[in-house]
Amino acid sequence: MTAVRERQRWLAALALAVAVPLPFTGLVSLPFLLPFVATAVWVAASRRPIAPLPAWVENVLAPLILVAVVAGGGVRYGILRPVAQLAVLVAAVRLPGCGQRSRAASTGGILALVGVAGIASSTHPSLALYLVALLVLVLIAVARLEDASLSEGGRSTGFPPLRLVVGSVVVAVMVAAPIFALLPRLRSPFAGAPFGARSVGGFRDAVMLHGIGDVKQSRRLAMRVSFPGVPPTRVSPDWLRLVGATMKHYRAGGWVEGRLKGERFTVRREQPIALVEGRRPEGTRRAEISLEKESTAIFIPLGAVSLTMHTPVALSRDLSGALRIPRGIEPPVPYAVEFDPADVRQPPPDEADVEPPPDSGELRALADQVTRRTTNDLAAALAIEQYLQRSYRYVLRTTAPLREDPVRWFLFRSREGHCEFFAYSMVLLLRTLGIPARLQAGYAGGEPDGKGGFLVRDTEAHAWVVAYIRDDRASMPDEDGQAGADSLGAGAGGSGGHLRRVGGWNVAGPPRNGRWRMFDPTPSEGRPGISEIGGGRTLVMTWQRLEGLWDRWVLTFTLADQVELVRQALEGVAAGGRLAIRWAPEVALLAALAFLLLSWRTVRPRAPRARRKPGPVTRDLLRVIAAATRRGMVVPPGMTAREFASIASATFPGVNAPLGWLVREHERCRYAQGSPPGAQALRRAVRAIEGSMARPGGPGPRNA
Amino acid sequence: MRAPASSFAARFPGFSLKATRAFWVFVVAVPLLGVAALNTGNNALYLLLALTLGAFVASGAFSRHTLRHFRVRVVAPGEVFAGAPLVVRLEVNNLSRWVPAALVVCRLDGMPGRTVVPRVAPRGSAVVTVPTVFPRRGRHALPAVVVEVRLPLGFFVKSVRWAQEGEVLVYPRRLRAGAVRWSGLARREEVSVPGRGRRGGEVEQLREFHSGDDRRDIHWKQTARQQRLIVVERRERALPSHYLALDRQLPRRDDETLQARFEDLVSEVASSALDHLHRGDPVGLVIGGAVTAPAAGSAHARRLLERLALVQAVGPGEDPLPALLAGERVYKLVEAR
Repeated sequence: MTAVRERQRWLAALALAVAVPLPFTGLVSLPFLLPFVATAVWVAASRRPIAPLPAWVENVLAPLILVAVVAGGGVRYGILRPVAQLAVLVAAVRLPGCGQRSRAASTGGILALVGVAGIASSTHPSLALYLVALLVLVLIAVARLEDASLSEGGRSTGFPPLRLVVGSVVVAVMVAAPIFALLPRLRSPFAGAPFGARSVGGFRDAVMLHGIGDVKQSRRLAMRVSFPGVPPTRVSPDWLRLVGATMKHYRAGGWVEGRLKGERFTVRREQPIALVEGRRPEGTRRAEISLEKESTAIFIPLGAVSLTMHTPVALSRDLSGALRIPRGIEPPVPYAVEFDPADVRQPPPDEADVEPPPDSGELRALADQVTRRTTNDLAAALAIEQYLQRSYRYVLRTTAPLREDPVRWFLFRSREGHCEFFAYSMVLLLRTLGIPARLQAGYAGGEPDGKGGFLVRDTEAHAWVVAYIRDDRASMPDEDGQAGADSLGAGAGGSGGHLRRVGGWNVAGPPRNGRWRMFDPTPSEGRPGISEIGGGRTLVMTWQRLEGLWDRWVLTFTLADQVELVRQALEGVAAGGRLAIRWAPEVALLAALAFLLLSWRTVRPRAPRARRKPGPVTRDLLRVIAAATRRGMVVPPGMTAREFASIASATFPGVNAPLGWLVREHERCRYAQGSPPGAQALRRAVRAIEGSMARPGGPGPRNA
Repeated sequence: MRAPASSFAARFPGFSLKATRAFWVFVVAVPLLGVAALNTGNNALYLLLALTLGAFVASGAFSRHTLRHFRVRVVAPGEVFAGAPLVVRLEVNNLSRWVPAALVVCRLDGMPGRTVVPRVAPRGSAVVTVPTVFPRRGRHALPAVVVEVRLPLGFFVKSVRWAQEGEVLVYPRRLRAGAVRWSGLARREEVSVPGRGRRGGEVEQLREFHSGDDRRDIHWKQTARQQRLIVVERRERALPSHYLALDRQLPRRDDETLQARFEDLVSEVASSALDHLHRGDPVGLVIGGAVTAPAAGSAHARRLLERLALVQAVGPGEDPLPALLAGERVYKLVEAR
């Protein structure tokens, strides 16, 4: 194979390799990707060198490519996407004729750009495997191209040795790991381009759906939770639904929470703080919680009635009822919560809770369609919950476009998303029906820690809905959507308020007849729960753990982590130094011994190389000699194989033929570099010799 | 051939490092990648950058390992004629326990030709050949072998130079010889010798076996055909003894043109001698005052070629031909006036 063909083939293979991440990351849209892949396949499969496109064709294509890139979105979604799309199309034009030396370098450069763009926008753990595979491909390609250029059309030497490739990859990865850890991070890491995937670890109390590609949840420990006196098997999953934030203002695709100052609590150690007014209900449970990750939110179960901080910290409650602590408090932060699992406690609903999004006609139509057979708020809310669970798909990765409202995009276009999309959608659909609803974010579920408690990890981060459900529905909407105002009083424990006509519904009824209820519209596969451990981790859990590690130690590896690593290393060195001082005499002795040993090894003459392991024939011959020795035959050290055969044949009748064969094979293998005979033939011969030696009645052994 | 492990020069004799185009691409690409990673804080780019640097290190480590554990020995060639292509055998050994050597290039230092050693297994050996040409006659040290390693990633061409022990005698260049200038030192005489007691020669006649005949002269086919013992009688012709005389005196000793012409003269003598020796003719050689008696056979051919390979031109009057050859046809350089 000529060097031109080799270059052509391997550059095309490289093109296909760099195209692998593109469809997964969404970096390059399909109309751009398809011509690139098709050209690469054609060039790779071609058995003869392909001539480049005529220069005038390339010149005509250049402006068309630019137009295509602009039409494909231009720089609207950032710079990486148009650059990648441009590079992909240019590479598709340059690939024919890439075997020519003059074009190989430029084509390789463009392919490298495509590859870097694809890698830069990847966040999946399989990126590690992809990089390794890419390195293997590059190693093979380099070897083949070197071979083609050195042999100059002569006989090809095939692929590079496997050991060389594997060894190179292993060494490269081993070297790359510390380099990756040590390369300076001067900016916060992000994973992926704005249009690609963004890594999100665990709970977030301020979320914009725009620009969030997926929720990559890590396995980092967020909390330890235990319920004293309750065995883990009797813990309800709802007890582990821990609220960190409640949000009700939906603005331009995201939730904005007011930063108005709320109530401040005076916290004393072990002194309970009442979270609700009035008498403490009966049948409450107690949860012992320890925050294991720095956070400004205090997570409490639904229906929390009192809080006891085990360490004094400044505590405040914002208007949504979320409990906050200042930033920078070192975990763990332990506290206890009394809660009533049967009661969802929230501040009473107000106008903001039924504020529909602008242009909510579509949403209203959908809500009407879903709830047309329902007769009350609860049935309507349950219908919407079930509709979302059944009609939409749960996925971790989504690419909500910037130009669209993400909820509408989710409901009417993509029909797939993560828990936040489901929760947001349900809140807005409920609001279009006039049912007050709020979004809650926090954690739901955990895994038993084996000591009666639960470990809540970032994996369990979740979003759900609380809606104010009145026990009796006042009236159906007017035909024309115009109805008189009504009022909505406070919910349970509420202090009052009123609601006018909302969304065409006449919402009325005494406030005391309603209560907050929790709804989780996320399909079951996206709902965290109490996971089982101990009986062997499932593949899914292992994969999740891997994803967590990947997210924690690769995607979100920061300068802070580097500083921490350095600190730990310094501490290790210091501890080692202290240990060395403590054990100074012993260390000195060991060092002296090591020095002596090294000196001795350097000074003493090199020992003769160990004898090579004998081959199978020699081994069997030695076995026969040992057998003969055991039977009384004297075999002096200098005896040759032939001498042994001659004496053994005279001593043991019947061994002549097999022993002669064995000796001949031994000489052939040892002195003529012949290949050894089959193992079965050897076994047969040895067995025949040993059988003849052991046969009774023969003449007794004589000394040789 | 075993290198002492103490110094770098001993482990890597004549080490040289030549950056390839891939290296310069790497030098440009890595900082760009680093800036991109630093500027964006994208850990995927950091990962790619780290792996790229790791691959660079791995490539350097493995190529160095291969180079360190690769040994090569030149097998001294047999007959070597100046200017004639020949194939030199190299015995290569890979002393590495684990890593196979692949795509190692071996060159003979200062000589044309190279060979690519496709693959040598760990602790394995192979014999490869290098096509080359020795340009000048004479006794030369065996050429050193330059071993070049490029894999795994070809950022550098690393090479070492393994000197070889031993010498090679390069015979004079072979030419298409013209008319031979036989000197008159020999007399053309034909001596007829009866076949008895002599082996070889041309068949003179077949006759019946007589008592006293050598039984080795029995012609068995004729004996079988005629049903009586028939012997072959041969008559051997003593071939004329030819001398080639080479005058190694140059009109001017340091004249390069004359030196070059002298080389041509030596080549002409050697080629004529070889032509006749291959035909079985005895050839004698006179170089200056040294005379080699006429003989035939390959051993004599080697003897003559060796003398011609080592002959050096001398100045006027330093080593004249014997006076006996005065007026005879000899190989001699004369200046045209």
